[in-house]
Amino acid sequence: MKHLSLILIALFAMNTWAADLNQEMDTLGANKDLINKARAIDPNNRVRVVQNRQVDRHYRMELGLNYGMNASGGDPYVKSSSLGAQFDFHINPHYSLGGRYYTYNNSLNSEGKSVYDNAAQHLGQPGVRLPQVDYAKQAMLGVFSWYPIYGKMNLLDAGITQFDVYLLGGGGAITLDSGTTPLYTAGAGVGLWFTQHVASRLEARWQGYRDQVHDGNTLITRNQNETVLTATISFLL
Amino acid sequence: MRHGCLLIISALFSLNAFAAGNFSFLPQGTGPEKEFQGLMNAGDFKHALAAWDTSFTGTSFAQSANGTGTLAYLLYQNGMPYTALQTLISSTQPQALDANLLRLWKTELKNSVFIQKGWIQTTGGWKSIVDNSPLTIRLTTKKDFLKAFAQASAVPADNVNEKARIWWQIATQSATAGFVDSGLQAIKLMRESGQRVIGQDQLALTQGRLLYQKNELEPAISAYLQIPKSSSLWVESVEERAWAHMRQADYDKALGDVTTALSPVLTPLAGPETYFLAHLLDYRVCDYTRLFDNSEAFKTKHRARLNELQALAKTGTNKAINGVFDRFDQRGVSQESAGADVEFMPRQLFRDSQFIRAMESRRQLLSEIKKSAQLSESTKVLGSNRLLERELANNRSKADRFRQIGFQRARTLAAGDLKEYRMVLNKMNIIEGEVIQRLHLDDNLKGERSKLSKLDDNSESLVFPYTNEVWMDELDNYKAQVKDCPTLKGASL
Repeated sequence: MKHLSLILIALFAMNTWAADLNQEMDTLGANKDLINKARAIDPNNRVRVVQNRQVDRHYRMELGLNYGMNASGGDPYVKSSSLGAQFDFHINPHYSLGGRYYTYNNSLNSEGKSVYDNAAQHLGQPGVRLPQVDYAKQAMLGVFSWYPIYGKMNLLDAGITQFDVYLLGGGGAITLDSGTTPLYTAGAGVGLWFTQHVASRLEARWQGYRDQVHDGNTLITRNQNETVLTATISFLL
Repeated sequence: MRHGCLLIISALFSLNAFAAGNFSFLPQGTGPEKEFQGLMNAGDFKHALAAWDTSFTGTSFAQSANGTGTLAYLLYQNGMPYTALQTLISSTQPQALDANLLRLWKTELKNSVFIQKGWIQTTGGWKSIVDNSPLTIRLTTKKDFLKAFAQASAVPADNVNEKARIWWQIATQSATAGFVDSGLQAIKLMRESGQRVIGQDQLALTQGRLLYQKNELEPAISAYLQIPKSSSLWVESVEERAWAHMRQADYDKALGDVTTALSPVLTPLAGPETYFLAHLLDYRVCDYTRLFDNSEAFKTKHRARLNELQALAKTGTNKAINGVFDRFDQRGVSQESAGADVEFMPRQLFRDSQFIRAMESRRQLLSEIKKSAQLSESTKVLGSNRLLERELANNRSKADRFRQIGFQRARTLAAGDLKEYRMVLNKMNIIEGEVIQRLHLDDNLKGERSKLSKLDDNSESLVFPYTNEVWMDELDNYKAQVKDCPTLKGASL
């Protein structure tokens, strides 16, 4: 009987103890007026995320292979794509100097084919001439890149990749069917730094040069303004 | 490099050669016995186990110490180390074994995780080979510590784990006894010894705590920083780092660490003391908005946990524990195994040596029960030896007993957690009481605060805004800028 009483007392004490704990928790921050008063003197302390770059880009060489296509501009009858190689020497994560080499694959676009076929059918008639085209064979560029914007992305939950958005500008030479001529470029891109040694770039560039076509016996020089899209897979050494 | 590889290859080769071909003590009277010895000498332990029954059933050898030791060795080599070691230790004495067999067992005992971690304790003569009985030395005076160091020095150099056990006692008792330097010295010795009893993360945490006690805060923070994110002690180390920063009055860093410790992904692992730390920090810098937000977060996130811990402490079970224990049976004791239910378990459960010993022994026994069933099925040999039969029959009840021990430990630890809750809730309520008083009486609160300090970064760092969305790579990369308490004397920098 004595034992039973002790057990009952112990159980009662335990229940009270548990209830106390929940009550004590409830009393925290229970005074709403006080909370409002406290909010009036909010110091606005600040917390930010400050991270190091996952991929070091100080004095590092990046070598890459690229594929590009002409999105707009250029000879109206020619469709061009390019394969090439490139290098970028990263001075630091903000600046790099690089070179680009492209070799072009050209074909008549649908409009070019139509005009050409039409002219071929009526060749010999007065005023009918085969359309003249000029097209790129290869090009070389020196570029300077500036990386002012950064971010990071979740790659399908497989990992987090940091990236930089960059602006680039430069010049070089383009070898056309009609000869070699100066080439200028400016554009922007995104560099994705997957690992210490593997990266990728997606780039959109304007490039300008002057080409030449014959219109009868007249040699016409045209200003070409092209928009080029390039994808690169690269390796950081 | 090449030299190292050659050494490893030659060591492996000699180990194999040593294990195979040293069974000359085995009887060779009959054909099956000769065949058995051939299999043993060739290191073909799987087929040797299959041949045991036909070779030795009913023989005096099977009942002898060498017979038991040999069968235990076969079980050990066939993936049943727990049963093997229990059989060996409970049924034989080392002095009764053949010298070759004893040499094999000495090697295995020194390599066995069950022996080295003390999950199976050596008894009788086996203690002279490895004494893994729980070491509890009470150290209170300087003389006790010197004696303990001398005791560790007296242990043979090839038994560093035994030395480490003594050093660990010194390290863990030095703080309460007031001989922090002895503890630090013991940790240094452990780090240099190559011991495998105590993890490097545990050493770093203890070192950090001792240095904190000594008020050497920068070295303490460096010690905490040695604990990798992969360690189960990492969250604790972040919290303790925050305490050290707060003691240095570096509130920017303290708040950065508290933000990590209370990040939503780590909430299930954060104990009540982390919230108390956040409370105290907010109180020190008069950030009452954050303080009351912290109260709200604590109530929201810990209500269910508190209720489950109360249920566990009161009844010995709660809604999550059976599922968690089942997962421990599959994947071992870890916070990862507990998964989302980790918050309903006592915080110390994952590093409680008694609990781990019980649950890991159970896991091994369950695996060996399965293994023995497979072997019985394929070879029809197991169960024919009476000794083995008895051991295997015991395994199931032993496994159940270990689960019961697990429940008991969980209940005890839950009661410990509730004590911590009670203490922390008291402290948090006291702080809120102080805040109420300040808000009503302190005219300084009408004054100006200091300007935000400069963000501690460089041009190479990436800075992102802090939101409630947590990116795993951002943990431990939070930097805070905290203003001091307002003062009527004018803003200070």
